[in-house]
Amino acid sequence: MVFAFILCCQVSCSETSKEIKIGFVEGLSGPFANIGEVALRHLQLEVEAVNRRGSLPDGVRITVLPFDNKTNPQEALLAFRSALDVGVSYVVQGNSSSVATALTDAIAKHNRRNPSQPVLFINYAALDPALTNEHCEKSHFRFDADVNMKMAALTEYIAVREDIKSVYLINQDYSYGQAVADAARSMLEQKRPDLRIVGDDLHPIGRVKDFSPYIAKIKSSGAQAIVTGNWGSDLTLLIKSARQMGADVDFFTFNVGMTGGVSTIGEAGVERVHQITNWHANINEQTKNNAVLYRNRYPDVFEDAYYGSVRRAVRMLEKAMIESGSVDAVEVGSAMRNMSLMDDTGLVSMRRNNHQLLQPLFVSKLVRTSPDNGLLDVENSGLGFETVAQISAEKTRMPTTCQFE
Amino acid sequence: MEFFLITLLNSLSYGLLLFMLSSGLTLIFSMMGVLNFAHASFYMLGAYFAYQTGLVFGFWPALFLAPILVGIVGAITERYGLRKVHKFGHVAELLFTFGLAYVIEEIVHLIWGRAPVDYRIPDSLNFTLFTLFNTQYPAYRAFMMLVSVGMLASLFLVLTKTRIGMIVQASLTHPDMVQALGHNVPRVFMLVFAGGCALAGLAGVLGGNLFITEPSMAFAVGSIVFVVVVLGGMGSLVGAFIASLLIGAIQTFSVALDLSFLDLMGVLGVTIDPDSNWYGGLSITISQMAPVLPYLLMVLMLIVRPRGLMGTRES
Repeated sequence: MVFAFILCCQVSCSETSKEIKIGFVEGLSGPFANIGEVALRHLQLEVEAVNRRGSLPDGVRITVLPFDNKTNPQEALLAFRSALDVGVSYVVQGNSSSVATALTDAIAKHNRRNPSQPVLFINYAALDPALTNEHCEKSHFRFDADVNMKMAALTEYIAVREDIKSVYLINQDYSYGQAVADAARSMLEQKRPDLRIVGDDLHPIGRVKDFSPYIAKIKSSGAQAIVTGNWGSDLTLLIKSARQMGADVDFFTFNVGMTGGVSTIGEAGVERVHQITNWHANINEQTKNNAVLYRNRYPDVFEDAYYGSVRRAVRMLEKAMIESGSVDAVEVGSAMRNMSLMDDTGLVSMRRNNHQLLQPLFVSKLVRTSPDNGLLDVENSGLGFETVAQISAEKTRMPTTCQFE
Repeated sequence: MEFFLITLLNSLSYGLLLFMLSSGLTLIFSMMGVLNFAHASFYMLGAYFAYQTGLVFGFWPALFLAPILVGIVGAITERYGLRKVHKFGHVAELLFTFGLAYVIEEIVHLIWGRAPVDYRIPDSLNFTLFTLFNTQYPAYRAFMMLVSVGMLASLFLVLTKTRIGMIVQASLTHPDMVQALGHNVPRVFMLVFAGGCALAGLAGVLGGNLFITEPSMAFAVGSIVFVVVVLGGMGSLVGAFIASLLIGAIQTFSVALDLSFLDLMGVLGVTIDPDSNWYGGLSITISQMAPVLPYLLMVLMLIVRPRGLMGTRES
């Protein structure tokens, strides 16, 4: 009788285990908590869509579990441990390349030691080029374009903007910010030898609460434009100070469409604020539809859809699970290695030799939106983005030093 | 010149904000001998209370309500917390405030979440006060300076010219005598603690929307407040004032200095090969080191003059 009960339990237990767990190991407290929550909502929206379609093999469902890494590599390792304890087999993270580097290492190590419990790392926003070059790992897949790819695209656009004669680089002082500064410097020197880089600042990440000394410095340098890879509160506070002090500069950013950026700069940023992204709402009808989907799903939140990479990551996971007929991280990983997918901005494909997604990139600038021009705004600001330059997926392919063992 | 003036104004407004924070801390310390680790948490509470009451009543009532609320929380903390642990000595008091800082942070997490709240500068103060050369100076910063200076003046007047101020000062040095004269010294302690917390709360009301209101703001500002108090001399208001302005100036001006040891050596005619192991360390500029400088200064001060700029006691 008891035996039968145990047996029964085992059967039903394996029934209920028809679910896979995605651990969202992200900074959910501290200065970058708000954007962590934004990305989590993107992830949940896409996962809900997959579960609704019921498309995964054996009717498997996905559950998203958030783990707070406090945007700190050590904390991220602890969070990864607790994610493992509850049986997470896919880890999603993106904010901060230093955290992503720590997680990449930890996950690769875990996979070598525990081949029976493999984990796949989905990186939707950590852009340090090293992650798909010298520090690349088989278990890591990046769905946003790295710093060099984005900077190459952005500088293509700055190169044709002959009215801009001097730029100021301001970035966060860690691997990612340094990579942005280095890439901007070398690419601008090559593409626009006449353009002067009048300043190059690195500031501590997440610690500066008042950027006005930096803005005063930028103003006194006479720069016409600021190039920055800052994200989260480091970007909104920078823009806030620039606006308060009436800094007369153009912004070339990686992330201004992220929550808070546009509503902080407001009207002052029209035609002056640019971003290089893999997605914005006003690329085509499909992207507009996706933006509206997000707004309808989360009517009460402040932000609008931003991460095309999260969407592509979940869709590619789904496709890889269907094609491999398995939810095992190793099999899904190898199915994903050369996968292509038609998404709302065009064909995107995963590079086999370094696990970097190739996708079209868009330079967009902030404009006023109205029913007449049919553009969608962000954060109810009456302002939205309009593409000014597009770079095809194939053109973003960069040489890589990655060698998977 | 433009850069210098604007940075000077910025450093002044930041320094005055720091003073508002540290004056309460130093006052509490000089009176009760308690180093209040939770002081910056009251700063955070000020910002959150102002945000919350501002949603209902608007910014101006919140400017008064929030510090009062923080003061009440401070009074309760003293009456039912600190006074109870006082008999176990200073270590117990220290640990109590240390724990309190974490408790307040977690409570803020529970109530307002972990993300920053949208606490904004009111529209009536969100304009450009004047344009210096071609840099705009925001009115809100000027307002902040005005409030800080006003607070400084009234604090000075209260402490030196009023009866309650005299009792407070007397209780500082001769609590037993004051008690013997029939004054309720524990209540004076409670008032001072509440007042110090209210000052921190006021700083929070002003700083929260100028910078950012988030649960980690207490931690971010907490360490720098201790630097101010140590630098200025434990328990000295004048010292805290000088140290606040000094730290404000160091933090804002150092951002502008792109000098490094490498440049210094260049002047001396020494060149370092970029491939050398030393290159990375030596090429760090003062602006990159800006966040460390106040702490460096504190360490130096403790070595050279442990009682601080204006401090009177050695320990």
